[in-house]
Amino acid sequence: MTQEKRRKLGVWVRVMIAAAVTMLQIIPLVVVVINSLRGNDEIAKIMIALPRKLHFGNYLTAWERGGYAHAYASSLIIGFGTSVSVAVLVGFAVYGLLKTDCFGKNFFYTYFVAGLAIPTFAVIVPLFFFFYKINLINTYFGMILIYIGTNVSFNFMFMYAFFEGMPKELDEAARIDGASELQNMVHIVIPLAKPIITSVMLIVFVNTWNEFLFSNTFLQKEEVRTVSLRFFSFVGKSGADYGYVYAAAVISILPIVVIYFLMQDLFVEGMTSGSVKG
Amino acid sequence: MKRRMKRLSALLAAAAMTVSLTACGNTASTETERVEESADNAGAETNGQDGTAKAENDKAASGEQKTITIAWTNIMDSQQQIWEKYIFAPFLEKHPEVEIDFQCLPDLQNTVRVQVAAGAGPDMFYMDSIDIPDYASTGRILNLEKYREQYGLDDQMFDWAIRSCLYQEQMYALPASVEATAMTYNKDLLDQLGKDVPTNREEFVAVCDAALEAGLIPISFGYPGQTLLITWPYEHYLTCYAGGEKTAQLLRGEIGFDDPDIRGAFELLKADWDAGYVNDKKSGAITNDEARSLFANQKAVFNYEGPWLILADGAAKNWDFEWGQCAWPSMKEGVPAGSAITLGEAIGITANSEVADLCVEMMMDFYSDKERVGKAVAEGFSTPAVAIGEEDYPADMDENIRKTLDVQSANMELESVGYAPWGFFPAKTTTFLDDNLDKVFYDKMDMDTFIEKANETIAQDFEDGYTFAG
Amino acid sequence: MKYRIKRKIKGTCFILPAFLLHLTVIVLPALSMIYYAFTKWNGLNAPEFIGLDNFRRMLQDYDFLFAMKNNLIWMTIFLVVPFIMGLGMALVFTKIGKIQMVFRTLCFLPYVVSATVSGKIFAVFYSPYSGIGSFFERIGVSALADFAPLGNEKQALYAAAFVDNWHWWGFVLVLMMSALHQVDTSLYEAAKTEGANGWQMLVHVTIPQIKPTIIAYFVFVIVAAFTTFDYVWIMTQGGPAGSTEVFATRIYKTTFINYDAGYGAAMSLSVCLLALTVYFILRIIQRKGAREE
Repeated sequence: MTQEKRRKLGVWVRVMIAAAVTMLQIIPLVVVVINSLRGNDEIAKIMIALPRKLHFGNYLTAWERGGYAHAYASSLIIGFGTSVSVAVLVGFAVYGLLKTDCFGKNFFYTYFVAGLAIPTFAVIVPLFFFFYKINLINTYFGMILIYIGTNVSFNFMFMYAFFEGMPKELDEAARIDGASELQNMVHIVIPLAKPIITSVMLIVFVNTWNEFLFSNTFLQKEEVRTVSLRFFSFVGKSGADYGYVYAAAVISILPIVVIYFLMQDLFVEGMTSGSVKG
Repeated sequence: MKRRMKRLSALLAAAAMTVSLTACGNTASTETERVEESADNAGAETNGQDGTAKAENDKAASGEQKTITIAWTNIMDSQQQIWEKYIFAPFLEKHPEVEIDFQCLPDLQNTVRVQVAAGAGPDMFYMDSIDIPDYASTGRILNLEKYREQYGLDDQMFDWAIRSCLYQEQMYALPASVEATAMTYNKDLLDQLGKDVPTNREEFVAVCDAALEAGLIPISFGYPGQTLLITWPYEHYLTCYAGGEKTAQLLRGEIGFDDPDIRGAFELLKADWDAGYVNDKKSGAITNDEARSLFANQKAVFNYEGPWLILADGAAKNWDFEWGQCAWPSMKEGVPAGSAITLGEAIGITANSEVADLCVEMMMDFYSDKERVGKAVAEGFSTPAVAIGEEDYPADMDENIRKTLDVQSANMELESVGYAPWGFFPAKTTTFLDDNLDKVFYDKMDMDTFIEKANETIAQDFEDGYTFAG
Repeated sequence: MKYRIKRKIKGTCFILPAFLLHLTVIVLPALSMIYYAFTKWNGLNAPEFIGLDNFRRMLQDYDFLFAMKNNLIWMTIFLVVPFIMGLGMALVFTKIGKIQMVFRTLCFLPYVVSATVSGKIFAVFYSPYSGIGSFFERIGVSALADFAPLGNEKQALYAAAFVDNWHWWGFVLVLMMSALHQVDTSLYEAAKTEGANGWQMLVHVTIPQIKPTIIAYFVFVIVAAFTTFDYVWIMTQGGPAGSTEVFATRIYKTTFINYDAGYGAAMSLSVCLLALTVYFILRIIQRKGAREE
């Protein structure tokens, strides 16, 4: 066997392994999609099977009963608001720590990372009292503030690692040219950091879309409740009507999945963009 | 109970709050004291209301809008519609100035507690009777003695239901619904096994063994981690092995869990678990919904659940076999087949609500209008704590619901009355039993430890001032 | 000098917004629980100061100590399984050309599905009556017909961890792939000319090169394992027979089902301190390691 052939064979083996693993990985989601089109009785009889007849009506029922129109609006507003804010705030913080001279570098770094160790549900009750006092219950703004708080630590670590790997020469050159911090940031750093910024925004958007704990407490009014909350009450109300539950599950994850597929280059690029190095 | 179950399944989610405590603890406690004070004058006019409430009343007089906020469990749409049709609509007609904000929340109990503690609670809300002491002792819910007299509640409602709403002899909640537990069975499967509906231990065991042999599940039951649901089985064993009187003695502190009859009830349940009667020992792996669908699909002969299964949850609609309900069979010679009564739901009114009068008026308008109550129940509403006569029900009522109601009223008349833990037991003890009984099932805790700790827990409850309402 | 201070103030201003917001929304509320940890409190009454009683009780609380064991198992699982899967598959994926994009995209997909949805789906898959078990029964594999891990006190924790891993390892994969991309290819060529085989290259070139990513991953997992909650809660709520209790489920139940909020705060505080201690120890070790190099 020539070396070239061996190499090719090696690639094929790898492709097969990758394909097998990927298949296993997505089977559960495929089952969800299939079951969302099956009748409730069929699903109760056997979990995994092809639909005998396509029940598109499941989606209609789930959409209406679940009140998803309102829920989508709430989730989108909160999601966009939070992801933009986190990208900006954390971006500034990381920039300040790494690219400028500032007080307490060590302290701030440790502070943000240590934030990960606080179980977030430990703060819900006091926060509720506090927010109630300042009238932030049932508001998008209040919800966004909380989500910024819960997303800061992880994304700080994430962005910090990125900026740390960024070549210093670039912005140092700009600084010698007499650019101010802000100019430097806007003209040199942000363009380079675009992928990571998008990536952070996507991660945060996904987090807020899926979050349950906080939103369940702080958003009590039907009109402001998010997609996850609706899914949850829907499951509670639907008992063994599994067809509807699966359809509701698809409705609940679909926007995220679509965004992910459309923007996954950016998503993944953000994480892989350390390769800018070099 | 059915509601409690919903609360759990709600918890399923991922959680909610916790641990800590209030950033404004000081304010919170002062508020508590204030409310406590006013609660002390309960019975007197002003009860829990302050200046603003008064101002609010004046506003109402001048035709200003008022909103009643109601927080309830995450009930099905059909149940919500019953509320709207039979309770809200007639009331709104009478009070055009009122608006109703009816919130059905998946995580009701936790959410309300946090809100109420922050002074932000709804006007009226669902409660389990075992939660009453916590809320009442801290002055968070309104003392209802005034209304008890005004509306003559003692004449209208079952006395044991009212007793379940008392805290230190004062009424703190309105009874919303009553239940009598039952055994639900599949008659077709019993016929197939060549057995009758069991009335005693011997017959019960015979059916279970025959079912296992035939590859059927004797009793369908699922509780993935929702140990709360384990109350269903042990209630039946307490009622039909130890008996209602013994259970009452336990709750009065006259005997302990180590009493041979009480301990025996738990031992018998454990033996039945080991024998595989309880869903082939697979209960921990399936949800309650799935347990119900096993019964619906004729894979199980019995189900622990009672009337709520058919009333509020409308499960029988999908059953294409002959089914029935009856009192749980006698589990020991000398203790008759029996059923436990319980307060299924109670209504608390927050101490600082400005529309307390309207809340009570709305509910009492409904409870005292037998025709409306009859129609609501005929559509699946849980039975309120008032006597409903045959003549109050519409003639064309659903067959399944009629059957269930018949069994329920027969069960309430039985000589042997048990006391369902979720309505009568003290809170800590119930939680202990719920949380630890499955450790006994799985042999992670032995019976001696279980009984000993249960005794310690109930002693604690007595110390905290628990009194038996039966 | 003055200029320097001014510049420092300016730099600090970049950090302050994120810092202040996080402080207000997360840290200050979390600090307030320190007070409640020393009280008896049911969420409604005025907290009653009881000194160290809650902490004494914790030391004798079998359920709580048992939870610690499960947290450690959980941590071990996530230090090993997603790491090996993520790094292993990253090594496979990076050598198969363009098509890797497709696989990577799909493997990562579960990461965007919420815990509620995936927990619910898998609970059904694990069901002995309508899930994998009954499926095997139908196709005649009777050995697996009784597969019902959530009802088995020895398997339930692993069953829940399996789902969390399903959701999480795709993320690790992407992380590792990005780290691998950064490795200077000339290092591999140099190793090759020295006659190194695949394994040697992995151990001597790849792993040292991506060490920062690996360490960051370990630190994250170790700290996060103390507060894990979602999947366990959704799938088992700590059951059956308490076999899947972790710190967070204990705290949650204590506070919200038993309404013993003071004791819950004490547990919460202890877990927080434990996680922080471990974190700082790791940092010290990490720094020492870096210095030695």
